[in-house]
Amino acid sequence: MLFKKTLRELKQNFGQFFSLFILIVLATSLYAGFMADPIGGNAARNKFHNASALASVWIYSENFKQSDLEQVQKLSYVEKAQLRTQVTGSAVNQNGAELDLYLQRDNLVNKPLTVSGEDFNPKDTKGIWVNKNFADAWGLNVGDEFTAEYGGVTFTKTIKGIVLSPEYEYMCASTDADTNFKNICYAYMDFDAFPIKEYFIKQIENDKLDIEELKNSKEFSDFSKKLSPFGFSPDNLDKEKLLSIVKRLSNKVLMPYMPYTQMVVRGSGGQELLSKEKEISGALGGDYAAMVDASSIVGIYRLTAELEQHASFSYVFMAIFLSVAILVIATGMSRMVERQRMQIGTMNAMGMSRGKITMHYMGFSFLVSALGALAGMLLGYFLLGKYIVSMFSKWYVVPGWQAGADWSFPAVALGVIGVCVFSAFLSCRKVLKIAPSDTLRPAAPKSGKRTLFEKLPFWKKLSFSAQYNLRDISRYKMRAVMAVFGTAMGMVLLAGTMSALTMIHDVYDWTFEKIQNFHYEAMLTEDAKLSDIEVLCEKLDGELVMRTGIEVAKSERAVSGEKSTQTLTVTEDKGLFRITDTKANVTELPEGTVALTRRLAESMGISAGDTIYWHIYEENTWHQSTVGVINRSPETSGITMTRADFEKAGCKFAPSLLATNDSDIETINSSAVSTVYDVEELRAIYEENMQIIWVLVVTMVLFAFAMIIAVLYNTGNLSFHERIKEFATLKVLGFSSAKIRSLITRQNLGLSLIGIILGAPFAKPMLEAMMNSNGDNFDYYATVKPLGYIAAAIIVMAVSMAVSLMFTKKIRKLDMVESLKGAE
Amino acid sequence: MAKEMISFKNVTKVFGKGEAQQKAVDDISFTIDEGEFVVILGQSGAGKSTVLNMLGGLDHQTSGEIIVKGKKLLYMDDKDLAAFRARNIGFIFQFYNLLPSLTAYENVALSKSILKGSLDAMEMLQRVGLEAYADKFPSQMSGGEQQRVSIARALAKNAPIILGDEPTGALDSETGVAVLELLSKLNRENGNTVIIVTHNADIARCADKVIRMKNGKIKEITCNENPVAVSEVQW
Repeated sequence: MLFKKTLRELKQNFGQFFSLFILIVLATSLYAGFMADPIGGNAARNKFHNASALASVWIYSENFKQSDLEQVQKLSYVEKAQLRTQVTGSAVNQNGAELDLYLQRDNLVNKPLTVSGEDFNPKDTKGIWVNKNFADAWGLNVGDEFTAEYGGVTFTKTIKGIVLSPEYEYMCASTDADTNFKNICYAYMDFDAFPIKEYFIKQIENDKLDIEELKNSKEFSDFSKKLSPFGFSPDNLDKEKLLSIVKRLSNKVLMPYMPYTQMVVRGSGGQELLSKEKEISGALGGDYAAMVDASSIVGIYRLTAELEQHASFSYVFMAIFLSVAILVIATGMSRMVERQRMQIGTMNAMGMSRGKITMHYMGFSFLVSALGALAGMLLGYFLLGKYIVSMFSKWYVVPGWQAGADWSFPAVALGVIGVCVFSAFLSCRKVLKIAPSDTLRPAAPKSGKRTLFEKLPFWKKLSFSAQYNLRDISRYKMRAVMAVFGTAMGMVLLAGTMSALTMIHDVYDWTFEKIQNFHYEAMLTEDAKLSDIEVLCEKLDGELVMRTGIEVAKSERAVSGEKSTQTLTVTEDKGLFRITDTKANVTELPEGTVALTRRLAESMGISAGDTIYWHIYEENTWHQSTVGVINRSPETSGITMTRADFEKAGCKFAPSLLATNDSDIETINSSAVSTVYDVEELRAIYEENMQIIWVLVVTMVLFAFAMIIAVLYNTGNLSFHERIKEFATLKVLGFSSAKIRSLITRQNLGLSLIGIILGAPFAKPMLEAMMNSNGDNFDYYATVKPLGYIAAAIIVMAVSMAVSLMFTKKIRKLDMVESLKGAE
Repeated sequence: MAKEMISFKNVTKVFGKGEAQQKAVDDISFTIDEGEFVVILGQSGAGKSTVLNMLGGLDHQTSGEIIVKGKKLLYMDDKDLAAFRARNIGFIFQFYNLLPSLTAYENVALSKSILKGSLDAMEMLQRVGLEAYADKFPSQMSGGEQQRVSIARALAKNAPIILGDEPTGALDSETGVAVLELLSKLNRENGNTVIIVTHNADIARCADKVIRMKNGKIKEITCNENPVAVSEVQW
């Protein structure tokens, strides 16, 4: 019978419970929606990583030897290890797209997953295995010819397989601001299939090989010893001699001089190995440049960060909506039990235990929250979750990535139900604790004591409506708190998420106008002579930029945990490629110093004037620099320095990009240039990629909108029912329905205004947290502009006004006689 | 000789604390036998409802001893008191206190949720002549009809004690008499102990015992050797 009572009263109080239902649906659907993709994503990634035998550590060096590999393989916790060389070249027939080419003699660790064609065979000298997204973007198929260029050497292989690598779940060409699968490619090839002889010849011809450095190398000393019986002496070696020697040697003879630059090591069962860096370092005799784990591999950690961000969204948004739901329960249920006080007394008098009565009232909350949680989980999973996955899987590549669900879904649903039921219990407890005999008597009317507001000096000057509403607020504080909190949260979400849209636009300007003060960028070929590039640059009045991976630390030769993988940007300080300060304004880099990005500086505890140490990823030499300025960049973390200072540090300037405003670059025919981009095109791609943010923002705006409606409707509803007798009395006294409605409207608007004022300061921190939660690489300058606050405030006030209008009919139809009778 | 069902010994009930303290019931003693029809009579504020509440286990005395069916109510906790009420007490209220969202039948059948051995709800409605109203909600019934449903609800538990707090207070004379007749019938035919609290002296004429209260004290306890038939009562 009590269940029937529950159902009928749910129907009678539909508005109140429906608003609660909506809030629970919003809370749980946001959880399920944002969790579906990390759960599904991580499950798919685990499968992918295991199938590919993803490395536990990546070790970089200028030249690994087979003996190094053997030493590492001997370590008990190493399951398998493999050497490889990664070079960055270009796909000749695909607009010179950036190509990461892996040269391997084994296929044990980081194995590419075959999508079509044959599995990667490291002994196949004729084939090449190309990644799927690039192949799809260019219509490449198994059996097609693929021409690659590296170091000035162009070679063509047959595509034997289309593959995917877990190291490239995220990929972006160094010249792109975001993913464009047409511009970035990775491929696998037999180490011995690389045309080493041509490569060396090109290196020598283009002065890329430093003869003096070569003479002093151990490898060359061994080499010259072998040739000494034939009258060869390294002393009189010059470019021409070296060229003639190399031309006479076979690929087989030269191949040992092609260095292995990477060692990928998988721990037993995929266990992490970075904590064993000292032991691995010992096995390598300390002769390596860097040792990192997956958290430093950009192709992996970007997705990890993205998924973590979604997971954090799910908790934060759920907490916001749930906290509002709790307030709705607290106010709604306490009003209900107060209104049903006599019924409680009657049930008690009949012999119904307090526990049973309590359960009955908790049942309302249970039923609504259970239905809401179920609906929310289903909607979140099937709509939001699947949509987010479909959007993100356009940029992140994980085979089999689908929306996922795990034990946390029912656990969270139960948690939400538990919280709601417990809130109902706390709300009802006060009335249920009253002695049964007292509950049989009507509650004494709320005391009409003087309120704090009445102490205001201008109290007497306030209108009747203002005084009436202020007294009402102080009598029903919880309702007021709910309205203020709900609108404050709505304001935070609206102002924060709407500002994300303007912020995206600001990020375009920041990137493409402040930092990149140029209209065209040309990708430079690896084999181009620096002198040729410089001539071209001068002709186009351009600026050369180099970007490379580095490790940064507070001390020299820091071990893992004390250093981080970052990006080094080297500019010529000609004002085309600029840096911006912490307020996103263009700033200058003091001579002899480097600029360190803000978030990195904060995490390292470094400020301007401090010293930092860094080394290029593949090079073992550490350098020392003074931080001259803390800069800010939206999507790059690391250090920036001038070419002059870079070269002073003894490093070789190898630009990858030429920036210019001269449109002649589009028509220029230079072997040094592989591709030219109009920045507007890049901006358009960037904007297109940001569509997902638009979708998420619109979703959040709608959700915030729904929350505000639910909260304000509930407030208005409670306010109406709590004051129904007063309204009836006012009506009897001659107040018009419009005047009475204006009492509710004014109160709603007043409370909404307080909510807006209280919520506004939290919009920016929320936006910052939201935007920067996907990894340390990102540092968006999150600002909520006055227009953002105004637009959000207008929406909140408009909703408040609209909700008040919903009560027009109720007030007009108010039965004065029935309302004044006072029976339940 | 009738068995003693209820015993009040020097019972006092004080409400409030400090200066706001108020003695609602002041050192009263009486007994009620099984099957008696008792009227507790008094004006507003006499303490009669407080007596009824204590008797029904809805409230505890401040001092003294209340024994119902051999059990001291003071020593019962909330759970025991609820079980005690469920088995022994049927309440009838002045304003009927039907649950507005349940139909007449459901209000009576609610007893099933409280006590496993409760009687058939439709049968109870038949006994009060309201079987045709089974599907009606309280708001669709008159006061007299609602009170009869309330009596049916009290009957459904098959409780030996029926307590009525001004059961005719909100009814016109004719309907009130009909309700009283029902209660009287219960007392005569079922042997229920019926205790009614009222300020209507006329009702006292049909009771076996009348306890008159004033300012929290018992002014007089009288036994009617020959109570009048309810049909003869008028007010």
